[in-house]
Amino acid sequence: MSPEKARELWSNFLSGEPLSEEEEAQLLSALDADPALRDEILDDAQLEGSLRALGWGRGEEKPFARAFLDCLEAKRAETGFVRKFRTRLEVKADSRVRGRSAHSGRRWFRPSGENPGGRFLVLALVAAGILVGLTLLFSLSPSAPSRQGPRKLESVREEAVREETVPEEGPRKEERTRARREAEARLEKLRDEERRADAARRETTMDDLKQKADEAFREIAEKRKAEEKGLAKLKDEERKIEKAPPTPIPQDKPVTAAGVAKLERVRAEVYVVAPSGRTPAKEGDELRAGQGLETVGTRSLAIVTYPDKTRVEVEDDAEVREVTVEGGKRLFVARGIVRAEVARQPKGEPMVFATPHGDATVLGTTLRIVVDPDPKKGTRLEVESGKVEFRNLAGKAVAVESGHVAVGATGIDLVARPLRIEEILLLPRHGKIIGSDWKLVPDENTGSGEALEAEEIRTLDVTEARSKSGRLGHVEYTFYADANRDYHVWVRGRNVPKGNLNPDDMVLLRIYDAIMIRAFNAVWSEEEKGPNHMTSFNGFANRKPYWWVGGNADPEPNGRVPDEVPVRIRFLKSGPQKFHVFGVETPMRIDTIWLSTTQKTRPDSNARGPEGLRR
Amino acid sequence: MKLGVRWHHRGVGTEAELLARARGGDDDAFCQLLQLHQAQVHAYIGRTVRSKDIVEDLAQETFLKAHRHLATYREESSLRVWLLGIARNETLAFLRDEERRRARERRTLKSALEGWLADRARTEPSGPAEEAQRLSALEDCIRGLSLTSAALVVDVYFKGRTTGKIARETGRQVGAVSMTLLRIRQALRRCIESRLATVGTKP
Repeated sequence: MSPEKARELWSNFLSGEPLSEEEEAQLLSALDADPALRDEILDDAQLEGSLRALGWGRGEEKPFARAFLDCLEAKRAETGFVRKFRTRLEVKADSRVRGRSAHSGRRWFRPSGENPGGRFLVLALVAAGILVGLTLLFSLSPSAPSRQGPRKLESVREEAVREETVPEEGPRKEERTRARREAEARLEKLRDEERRADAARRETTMDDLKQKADEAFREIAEKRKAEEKGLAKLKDEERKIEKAPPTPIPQDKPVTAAGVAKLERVRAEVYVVAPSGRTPAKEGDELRAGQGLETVGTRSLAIVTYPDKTRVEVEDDAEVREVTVEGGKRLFVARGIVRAEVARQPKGEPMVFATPHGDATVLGTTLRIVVDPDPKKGTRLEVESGKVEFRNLAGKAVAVESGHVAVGATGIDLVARPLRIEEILLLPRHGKIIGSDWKLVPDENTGSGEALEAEEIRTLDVTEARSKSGRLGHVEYTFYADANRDYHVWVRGRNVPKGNLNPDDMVLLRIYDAIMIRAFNAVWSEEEKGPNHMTSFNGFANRKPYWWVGGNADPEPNGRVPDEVPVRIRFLKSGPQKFHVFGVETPMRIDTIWLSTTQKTRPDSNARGPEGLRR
Repeated sequence: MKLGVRWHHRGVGTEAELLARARGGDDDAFCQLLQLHQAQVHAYIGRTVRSKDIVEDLAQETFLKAHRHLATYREESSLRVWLLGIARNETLAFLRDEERRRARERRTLKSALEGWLADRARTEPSGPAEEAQRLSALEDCIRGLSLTSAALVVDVYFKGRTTGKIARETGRQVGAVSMTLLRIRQALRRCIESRLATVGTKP
């Protein structure tokens, strides 16, 4: 190829004109073969790059400066948060109220259904009330076990074969507790409705609609206040009952509980393991004392719930044995990953997660345990909130607090150290579906075998979607993340052709208490920065079936794909965070949302997320 | 005819005043400094990195680092040179990461170009001071372009219009517009060379 022809092809390439494969190969080989020509072309490329970038630097000074100020604001917010947090730690060193954590583990999501932020005080008061009640009840009850601390595994094995006996509670108290719980659930729902109604009235600009939205909001707010009064009354009554002498429990009439926990969810190959052998597990099955679970294969999962709402997720290729509740819940994690949200446990009856490398003793917390059969890797305990005592086989114990991790393994000192959240993987099952727009469907092309699907054919303008967001169905994800770290956001999704003319493939992500360092089709909140932004993820239809989109993946005329650098967000505070995902151009499906501090370039379409978090 | 391109932005005070205020914790003053130098920082990074998003990203990191380490700036060089030094470090760090990614990909013209530009960035003998001079020379040379050439440069590089669109509007072939741009860039390189001849840097 002549140098002139090479320059012509080069100038076309720089202008964004597509070269044929043959032309590109010819140009490349000409540049490889002729260093002088290559130098000339590189000089030109450098100058051209400078000219373009000079234009970007000139033309976008305001957004650039705004993004920069946002970064500074995040830094200040984090500094303030850390200071406040430290002060609180000093004052309430022993406080273990759920949701307080400042840092947490690598993959901290909260199973949906709980609003992590605003109801902190109410939850704390409720938890404190229950704790006081249970403490009184158990200290007065003659049948209450008084044993403290973890028990030996051998004794658990012996006890596991015995039937569990639980004392019957007074029907009056039971009735009040049920009523109180129902009231709490109603209140929770009303608060959600109130929040949505408030968002809707703020976003409505048309006068007549605004009036209606205001009225709807007031009506819900009144209902909420009435429910709060009712709840306060119920709590008073409950406290009075708890203070009264307990109803005598007939010792010769124990109630036999056949099951100690229930299999809330079973996915793929899961077995209930008993001394007599193993049988396939089904959703709704009850686990009896002494039984265990085994999950087989990468897509397997079992979720176990106890009557006190303690929830244990047994992830893929894991084995849990000897589930018991007498004298405190206890289970043995032989291998694999187990994540648990442990409700506040009665005094003297901590929940114990035994592993081949030590015991984790829990009074009420959220934690994750990873047990590796390799004794050198051992058991890794990550505590999201609360405090866990971790004791290794040598008898050494360490208290692992919120946002800390400890590893019990051969040759490793047992110490708790702070944990930084670097990768967050939100799977379909982690999302709470609100409204009827989205549903969980089986999907063989995802890592977990499931996807979230919005099946309605719909095309909304982004601004329109924002104004309607208070009324649109959506998926809510709650999870834990650090402040003052840049998380790159990747969404793995796909378009679902259903006869619609255009490839519909856009979702809108609303983030709370965070700033967007980079966004696409951003819809800023009124103050242009602050707690509530939306950004779009578009262009899922450009690869099939699934691929990762970091913003706008629709190629521009010059072939550039704008989301080569993805959406980047920075949370204003460490701890629980929240996302809402809305379908804007549907039907489409979402597999995984990946927040990463390290994945700055588009992951391979088949990538499922970072090693160790892949599910 | 000269082109009236405004390169610098209005500021409330001189650079020294803004610097003093920024060091005292005034973020607005730092933002004004940012506006004074951001075009050059972008242009410097754009010399090696072709993606707009990544250039912006690295520019922002450069200013964040500068803000964080403002106290360490001793004024031994101009603020611009100091900023370009930070930008160089950021760019080189990015290129190191990219190299690993590139190694796994099929070789194309784009990836080969990225590799060559990265090699140059790592081995280029010129420091930030020379780069600052080169950028100043570039600005001067653009001002010296003929009206037609300057209009084309502004259209393509500052207004982001495609050569295809310009070709349609002017009734020319796309290739002809692209070649005109190539010749304008050649002229600019010669102009920069002559301006930098005394210090011996390469355009």
